Amino acid sequence: MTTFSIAAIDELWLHGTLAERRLTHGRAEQRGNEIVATDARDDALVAACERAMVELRAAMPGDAERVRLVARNGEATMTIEMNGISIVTTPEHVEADMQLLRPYATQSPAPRPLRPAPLVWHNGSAAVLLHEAIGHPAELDVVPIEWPSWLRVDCPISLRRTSFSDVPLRRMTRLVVSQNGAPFALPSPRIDVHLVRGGAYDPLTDVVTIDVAIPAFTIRATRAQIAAAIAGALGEPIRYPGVVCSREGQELVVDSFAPLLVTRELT
Amino acid sequence: MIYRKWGRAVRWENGTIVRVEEAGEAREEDGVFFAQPIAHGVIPSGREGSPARVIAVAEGILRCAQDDMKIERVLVSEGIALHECDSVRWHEETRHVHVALTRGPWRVLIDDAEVVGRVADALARCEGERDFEHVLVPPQIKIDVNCEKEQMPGGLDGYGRPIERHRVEGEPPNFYRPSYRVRPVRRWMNVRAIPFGTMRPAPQVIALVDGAKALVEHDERVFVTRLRVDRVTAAGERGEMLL
Repeated sequence: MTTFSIAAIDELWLHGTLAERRLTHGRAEQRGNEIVATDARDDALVAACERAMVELRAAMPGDAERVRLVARNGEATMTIEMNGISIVTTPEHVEADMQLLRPYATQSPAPRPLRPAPLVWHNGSAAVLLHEAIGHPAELDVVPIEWPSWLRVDCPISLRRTSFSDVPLRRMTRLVVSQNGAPFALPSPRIDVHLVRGGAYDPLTDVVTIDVAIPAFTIRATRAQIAAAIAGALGEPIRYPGVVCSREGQELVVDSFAPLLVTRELT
Repeated sequence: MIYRKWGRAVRWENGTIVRVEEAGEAREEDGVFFAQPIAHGVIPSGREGSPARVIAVAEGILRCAQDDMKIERVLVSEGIALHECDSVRWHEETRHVHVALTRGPWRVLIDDAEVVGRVADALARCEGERDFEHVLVPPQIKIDVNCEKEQMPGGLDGYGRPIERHRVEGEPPNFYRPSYRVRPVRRWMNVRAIPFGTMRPAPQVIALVDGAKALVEHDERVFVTRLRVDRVTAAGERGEMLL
């Protein structure tokens, strides 16, 4: 028999005022292919979440429009939204990550690029592209394709679940993109990708969709097209602030890192 | 205002049986929404439905796979819930089925266990994609269309208030509460197109296909066609529509 226990507290703050607070706890016992799940309480886990929530509240930026604080088994994350654009961060990284978000807080939405051009993926945002193009296919046991020889993507996969009543699924625990001897030339003209709103991978069509937030546009391409478009990379992996991954309705944070990456046109 | 819910459910999800018991309450104080678990035991064990019945339904669905048609996802659930909001108490029994069948580039979505076999047979015979001048959408297939609509009476909303007949315009009068953990939101429920026009024969929609398409049967032949939800030609009293 395997057991899984969870406690979570989440709070929604709008313009610095508490709007919602919820406590969740439960325990799942699995024997073979049967799970018995109840909302049993583990006091130690709840106490760890209360401590993490104190830390989250102390770190919450005062100028954010919408902040969701989540303490899950004592781990603290916060999703911060300004002007319709969001990041996912932790108390440790919030100050640095807000430097990425604040420039867009008062601006009009960045314009959609007028015409396709090579893309330069900043701030570790290429991790989202490869989360969809390599991570999800690996979770689903889709036949791998060939990627540039200098590109390395480390995405350990294990059984994970969001809550006690969920069925564990093969999910990425993190995704780290690195390069070894990659070519690099900054293209001109180019589109500089700064933040990404979300993405998806459909195993039926092998199509990856990336919804870029800054600047606002959407990419739809097959894995093969993406692999063929990868042109170069520079430097060490950078932590990207913002991958909350949803599959079968189960949302999990996936720590994501990537170097500066250059791709040819993707539309 | 305090809302409480006690629930038990059993579901079969892609090969795993999950039995869940939980209870919780939600309250709204000065505009702040709070939710937390509470003690259960209100609903006796076994009332949520039989795992054997859920497994039998799921296994029946799995037997529908054939040739190059795959079953991508099967979820079968049965549950019972007791709700309480201020002085109103009501109970609810639910049965849900979600099935995704795939063949070639098509993913067909089904939410009725009774029709899975028929849809699977149709998908296996599908000849390709084709546009039709009109298609007939039967009442059991729910799609959101652009036309005059109304909320039909039936059941209670997230605050235990009756859902009443109302033209879909302006702010919805009722609130949707999918879980005690979620703040209720205004939403139209039991919606249908207001009957108009004249129904006439057309290829019949059998199931929805991912990407705003549908599987249709026409003269014993089967095709995938694009659904034109912004072009409702007629709507009938039973909820059927001619697109």
